Amino acid sequence: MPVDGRMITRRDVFALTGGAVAASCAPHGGDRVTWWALGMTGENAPVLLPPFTAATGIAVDLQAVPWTGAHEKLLTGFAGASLPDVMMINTAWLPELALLGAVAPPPPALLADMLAGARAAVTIGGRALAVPWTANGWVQFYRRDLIAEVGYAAPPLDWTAWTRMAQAIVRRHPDRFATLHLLDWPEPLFAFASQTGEPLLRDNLTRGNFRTAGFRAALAFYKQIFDLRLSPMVTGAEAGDTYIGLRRGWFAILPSDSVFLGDVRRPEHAITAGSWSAAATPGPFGAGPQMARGACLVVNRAARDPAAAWRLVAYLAGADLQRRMYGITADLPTRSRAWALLPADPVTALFAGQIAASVAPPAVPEWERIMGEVQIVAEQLVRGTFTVDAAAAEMDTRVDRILAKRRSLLDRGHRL
Amino acid sequence: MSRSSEARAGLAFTLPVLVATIVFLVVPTVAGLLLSLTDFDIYALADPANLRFVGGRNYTALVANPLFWHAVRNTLVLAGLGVPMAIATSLAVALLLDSATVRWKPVWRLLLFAPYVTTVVATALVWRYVLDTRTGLLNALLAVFGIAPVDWLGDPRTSIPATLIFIVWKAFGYNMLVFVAALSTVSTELREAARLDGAGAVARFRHVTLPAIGPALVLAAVLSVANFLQIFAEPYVMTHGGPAQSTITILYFMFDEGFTWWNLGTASAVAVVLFVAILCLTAAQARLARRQEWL
Repeated sequence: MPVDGRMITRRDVFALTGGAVAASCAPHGGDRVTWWALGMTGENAPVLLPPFTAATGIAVDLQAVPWTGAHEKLLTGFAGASLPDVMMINTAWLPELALLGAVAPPPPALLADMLAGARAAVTIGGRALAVPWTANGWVQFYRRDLIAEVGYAAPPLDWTAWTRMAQAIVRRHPDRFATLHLLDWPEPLFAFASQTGEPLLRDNLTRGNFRTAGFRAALAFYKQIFDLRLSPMVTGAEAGDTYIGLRRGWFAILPSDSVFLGDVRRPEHAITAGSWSAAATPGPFGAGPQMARGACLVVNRAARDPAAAWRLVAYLAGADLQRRMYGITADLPTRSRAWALLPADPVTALFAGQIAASVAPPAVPEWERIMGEVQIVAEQLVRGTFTVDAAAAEMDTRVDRILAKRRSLLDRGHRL
Repeated sequence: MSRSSEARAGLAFTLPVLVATIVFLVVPTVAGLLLSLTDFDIYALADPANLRFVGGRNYTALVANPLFWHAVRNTLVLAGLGVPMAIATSLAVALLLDSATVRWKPVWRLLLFAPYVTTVVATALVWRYVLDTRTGLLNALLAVFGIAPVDWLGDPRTSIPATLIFIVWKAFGYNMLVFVAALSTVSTELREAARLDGAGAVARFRHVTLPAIGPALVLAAVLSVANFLQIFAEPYVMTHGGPAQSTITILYFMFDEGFTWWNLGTASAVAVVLFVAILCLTAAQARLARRQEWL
């Protein structure tokens, strides 16, 4: 086959394949680290790596994994012993990987300077098992103009006053809504519930604790949002693009997290800077603590070269890099020094306060599934299948069923 | 002497296939059956000592699980509508291809068979574009007739029809080829004779063509039912089981239990239930076919 006007000779082929073989095994016996990174962060991770490789000589095999399917991929990877050396995971999955014994505890130096809330989220059984990388909160983003129309500078932070404001918005525009609480998102309900201070699981994290006065109050407030038609009764797929909805004023308040900050920067959403702001999620008597959310970096216990893996983690979780990440994807930092490097504005300050004071979710491997199951019941509550008390009882029943195995293992004296 | 050497040779030839069948089919099936009697989950994955034998408890839990029944209902709707749609489409296209007036038959056959051999993920992505609410081809076509855009994959009421259109388009090629082959065996003399006796097109199809392609029809029905009951990739790629769990099928439910939540005990129980269901349905179809003397 002619290339550049000449024939490829047998010698060329040998030179090429020989070179490829040499390239694939020669210079890096241990100087190669494999890394799975998730979502938008993963897509943007390649730009972060060249300085690391240049400084350390460690090559990084990066695989960007979309959020959908990432959880399956991790568990299947563990079962098939094909996990990479370094993994970015949703912090809520850490208890699962910890139970499997798949992660190595980080050197304490990497955790110095971490915000308390971020640190609490990676601590299981008194021991930190991951390095917090990105942090998140749960706030309400609002259209300044639509809130101002009904005489408010910002949404009130307690449930009663918040409801009054929301009703005023709907009264003024009967064809629109005050907020958009998507029925397949568990976060809003859990954001209300976590502020009541009631633990969500009881009996050494082996049973649901959803019949407490606090959780039922949160459920009642959640249900009321739909009963008063303050939010449409839709799921994410039915709602379409929420940013376009917010821009067009279909609703005035969107509960969300730092993903919003990244998304509004995109030109296609065209939300005018300054037309929106953010306030804390309302609580029963003013805003309270939120459940810690975010992503962390873990090192595989079976990593081929743990020292190289920890060097990569140390680089990625460094304050400078976290600041850069905020610039690219709006992922919020977990280090106080990185926060000091961010431009000071009220919205990031709101997140900073929330992240520092956040409380860790119950550290059980079943937590992700529990949130999903509780939300399914909450959706049925909103659609009228249950009363608040019946829904709370149903949640306890379902969650007790999910936790049955854990209960029986602990009863038999296993340490988990 | 020569008999036993013949037998040895026979064994030598069949052994590789026999071993492969045992290792890759019999062993996993039996293992799945055994797994369905245990509570294999993430705790057992962490430490095999946490594995317990639970007898039929996975099955009773399944019967009590509303989401399982939801998945069964969705699957039955897909199969109930999809099997007749797929077979009717295949047969209609095969009859058209069999017609003496059609030219370029190999080209048509190739084009119509192509969806079947294309990877499901690639075609599902293309169909997602076709079904897109704002920029999709289908809605653009509807707009010509003044019909407002439909959120095909986002609305729980249209997600199943939309998925069905895609599945039928993807699957009809195989049965079409089977029918084309069967139709070529229908003797021309018989058809001519029937025509001379004054039989119309419908009567000729009913009394000449249909009996000849009966066995092919049975084969197509058996395979289609088995395939439609095992739908997974299409909703997984197109809708992820949504919206509002409206496209969760039995196999999707099994995948979710097994690989998202790692409850392999429950997932295996689903697999066994599905296996038995397909076995019973196929047996019933075979009986029906035998009564028609098509088998």
